[in-house]
Amino acid sequence: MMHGAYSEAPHKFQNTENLREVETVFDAKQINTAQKNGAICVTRRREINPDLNLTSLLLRNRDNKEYITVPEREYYERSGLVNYDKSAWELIQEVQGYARPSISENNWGAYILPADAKVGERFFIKKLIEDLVASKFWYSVTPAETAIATWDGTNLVIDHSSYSFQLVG
Amino acid sequence: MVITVRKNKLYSRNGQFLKAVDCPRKVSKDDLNRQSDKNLNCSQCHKTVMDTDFMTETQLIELLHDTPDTCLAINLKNPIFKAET
Repeated sequence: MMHGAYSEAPHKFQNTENLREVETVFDAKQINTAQKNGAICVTRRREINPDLNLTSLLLRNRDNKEYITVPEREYYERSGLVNYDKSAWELIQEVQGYARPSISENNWGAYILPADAKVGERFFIKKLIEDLVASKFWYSVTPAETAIATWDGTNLVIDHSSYSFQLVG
Repeated sequence: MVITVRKNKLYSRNGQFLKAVDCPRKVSKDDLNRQSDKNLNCSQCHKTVMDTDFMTETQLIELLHDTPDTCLAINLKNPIFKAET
């Protein structure tokens, strides 16, 4: 599957189920304070998600010098196949990017759960540490900002069905 | 013209039921292999699944009128669909 070419604003959804919220921190002192208060702390490593990589092409028209960014030299639109031929469009640069803006200067964070979290309880995460894809359409990719997750006693398991955006049948 | 998606069912703008998009095998888009810009092949039952990403509303409605049992792959981010809860 090809990478996305463009990114959309992070996908946020509301806590419509009125779940208890998990706090997200990026600082060891905040974790220690939370632990002293009896809270449950789950650290997470933040890693690059290849599905959020963006690639496109910056082209320039050889005649009128117009610039354009396109997903590829040939790609589909609703009107059909679009072609930016080498004879008419010169490649200025292969563009690379990442769909999720940096949320922290560190590559880790921690979720703070209430001390009385029950095994099987579902929580609302307002600020995700992990880089997850919320949706993709055509050549755009949307990173996730919020999530629902279940506490299994040792880990907070993200419910990926929150990002269900495709139907087949 | 927008096609409404309500509980995995498609309805035309005038409220006419078009199709239920509810694969009995719970196939996901990851189970589909691309054959062309509009055709996908299902790895579970080997049927052709129409990718609606590049179709217009009119094309989709005509397709379902001619062959109502056509399997579809739908992306709810597609502006031709309006998802209702």
